[in-house]
Amino acid sequence: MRKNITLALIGVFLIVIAYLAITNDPSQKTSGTGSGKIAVIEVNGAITGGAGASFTSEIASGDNIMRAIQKAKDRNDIKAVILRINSPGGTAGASQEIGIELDKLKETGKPIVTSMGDMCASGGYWIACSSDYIVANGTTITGSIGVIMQLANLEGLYEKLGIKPEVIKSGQFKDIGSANREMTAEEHELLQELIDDSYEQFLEQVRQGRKDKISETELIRIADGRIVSGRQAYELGLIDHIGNYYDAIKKAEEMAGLPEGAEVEILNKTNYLDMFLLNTSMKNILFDNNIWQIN
Amino acid sequence: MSLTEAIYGVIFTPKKTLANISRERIWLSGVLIFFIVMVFNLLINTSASGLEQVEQLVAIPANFYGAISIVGIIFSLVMLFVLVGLYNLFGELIYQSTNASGLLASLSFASIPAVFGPPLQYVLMLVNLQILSYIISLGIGIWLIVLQVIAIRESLSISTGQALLLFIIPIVASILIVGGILSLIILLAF
Repeated sequence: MRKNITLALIGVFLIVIAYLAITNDPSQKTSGTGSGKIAVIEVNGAITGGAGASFTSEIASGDNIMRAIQKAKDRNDIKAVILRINSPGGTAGASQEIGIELDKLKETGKPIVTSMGDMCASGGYWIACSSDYIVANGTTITGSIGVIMQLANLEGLYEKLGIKPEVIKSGQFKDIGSANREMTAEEHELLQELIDDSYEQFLEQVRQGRKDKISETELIRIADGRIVSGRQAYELGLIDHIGNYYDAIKKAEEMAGLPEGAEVEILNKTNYLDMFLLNTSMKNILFDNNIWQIN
Repeated sequence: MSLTEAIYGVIFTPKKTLANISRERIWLSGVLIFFIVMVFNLLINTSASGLEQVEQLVAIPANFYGAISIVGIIFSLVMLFVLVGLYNLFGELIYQSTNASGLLASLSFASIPAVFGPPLQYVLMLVNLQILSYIISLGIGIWLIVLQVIAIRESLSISTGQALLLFIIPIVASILIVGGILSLIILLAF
């Protein structure tokens, strides 16, 4: 009996610690005053749509970021949002989707401050344009306003390897961008139109986000895909302030009317389950449908 | 011997219990316990690694840690069997004594105290007593070594000194093999 009680006590202790370890992630929170929180949404790596799990590199999943934005919108204790971006860009679709969600968050009156890390270019800058205020380091690489599509023609290689692809298609452009052959003039024109349209939407996003901060002439001049440093971006009006992450927090406190030292919470930090290769889609099914709950 | 008695005994009366485990050769439960201990420690250590905030020279994708940990568990299980094989082989060669399934059972059960290390470390890290957590790790490490030596001794019915010698043979052999390979590489390179 004594043995059983001792083992039961040990078991309870271990289970309690395991529960604490799994559910409590102190790295996501910092101490602060209790009048309201600043939420941080991290955008790390290439921005892609969907769950976007990768084993070898960091990917900013559009779904995860939008879920964090929703959380920031719904929670009453969150008074301001910091968008911490460290991204070389990504797909136009995913960037636009995140941008739209940020615009909805902005409508609630919660200020959004972007803090750029090493890099916030292309799709990263697209997202940043949906915030109220942009802070970047002097050496941050930003800009790259433009759209690109790269395709390869492997016809010569296939020929050398003795591979002869056969294509059966329902329409003229169904295999557009095929690596099996050279692109036709019509296909090139069609893709150019698509790129131009996406580019125009990107420009519109920058126009909206940087209204009265950069002139149309200046924007068209620099929107040729060039990258610029944080300092150059400041001079051009692409960002609002030269500073680091903590300057962005300070600005968010100021904009939200929070006292200095407000509590900061990272909403989408890599959590416990991500560390165990649990597929993000599977996680969504399990946790977003309230089958299980995690913090 | 019931599982409860075995677990309790390894913690509080290790000598008698490991001798019984070895005699009864309950290796299947032992390997299961060993596996549970490894998985439990992995869960706690993964969370504890988030508290340590160690600076990294190269950024590693977060989910890569999980892969490394899972490979670590598989490696630990393989190493358990390899060590049992080695102790059994050297036991036979040096002391003419073998008991492979007894060794597997007792060495598996001897890993039980390892379950206390990470939780205690985690709690101490939460309350900012990191130095104490290192001392506790060291203490548990010594406890585990003592239990493994007892497990070898009781399984092969040899003296403590002889068991200690068997225990260090794989360690010394590993150092010699790795050292030999490195020396060979250096000699070939220059």
